[in-house]
Amino acid sequence: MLRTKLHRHFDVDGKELEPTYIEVSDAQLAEEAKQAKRERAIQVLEGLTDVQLSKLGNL
Amino acid sequence: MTVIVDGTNVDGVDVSVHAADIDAHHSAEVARGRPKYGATELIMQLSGDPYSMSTISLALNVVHYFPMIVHTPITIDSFFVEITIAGGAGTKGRFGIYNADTDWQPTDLVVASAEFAVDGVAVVETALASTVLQEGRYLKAITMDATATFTCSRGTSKLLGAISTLGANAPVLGINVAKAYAALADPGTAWDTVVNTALGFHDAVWIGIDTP
Repeated sequence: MLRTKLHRHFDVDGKELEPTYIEVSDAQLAEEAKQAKRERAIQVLEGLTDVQLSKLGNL
Repeated sequence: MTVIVDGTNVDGVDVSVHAADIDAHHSAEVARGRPKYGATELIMQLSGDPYSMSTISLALNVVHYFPMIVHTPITIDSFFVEITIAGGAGTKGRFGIYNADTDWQPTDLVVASAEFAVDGVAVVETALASTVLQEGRYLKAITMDATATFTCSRGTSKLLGAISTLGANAPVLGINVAKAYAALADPGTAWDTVVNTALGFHDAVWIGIDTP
C-alpha cells in the first residue's frame, strides 16, 4: 500500500507554492520508523555514564 | 602535428565521436552531473558516499556547515531537506553555499536561499537562483530560528570523517558556529565548534543539479 509524504515548495523569493505529495510504501515507512528507533537507542546509550554502561554489560 | 579545431582536425576529419568517448570515460572517473532516468532526476549531497541514513537534531541560532566537493562545473537550482520533527509555528530557516578555503573555513557566499519554513513535518524543496559551481571545495550552510530534526545521511564526508587523535576519540559528526538567526553573512562566519560521535559525519541537505 502506498501512502504520501507532504512535499512543500518555496520559490527563490521565499513564497510558498502549492504542495505536492510523495508516494512512499508501507515498507519504506516501516524502515524509517525502525531507523528512528535505532537512532533513539543510540542516543540513549551515548548518554549513559561509564558506570551505567558497565552495569548494562553485566546484565 | 594535428591541430583540433571545433571537433575536426586539420585534415577535416570529424573527431567529435572520440571527444564524446573521452568525455564518457572522464565522467566515469569523476563525479559529474546527476543521476537521471527518463525525466526523473535524483538529488545529490556532493559530500561523499552516504554510509547510512538517519536523523539529526539541528539547534537554533547556529550555522551548521556541511562540506562538499564539486569535481566539474555544475549548475544548481534548488536544495532539499526533510523535516521529521518540526520547529514551532512560523519558524524559518535559511540555506546557502560558501566557497571554502584550504582550512575548510567559509569565505565568499556563493548563493543563498530565501527563508523556508521549518514549522511542519515535510520534505521541503526550495528554489535557488540558478548558480554555476566551479570545481572546488564548498560548505553548505543552514541556520534556523528553531531547533528541528532532519533526515540526514551519515558518514558522508571523506575529508571530515576524521578524528583529532587516535584512541577512543569519536570521529567528527559536524562543524558549526553559534550565531543569532539572520541572513547568512558574506563572507561567512568561521566555524569554531566540532561535534564528535562514533557515527561519522552527518549531512542533512541535498542539492538539485540542473546541468549537466
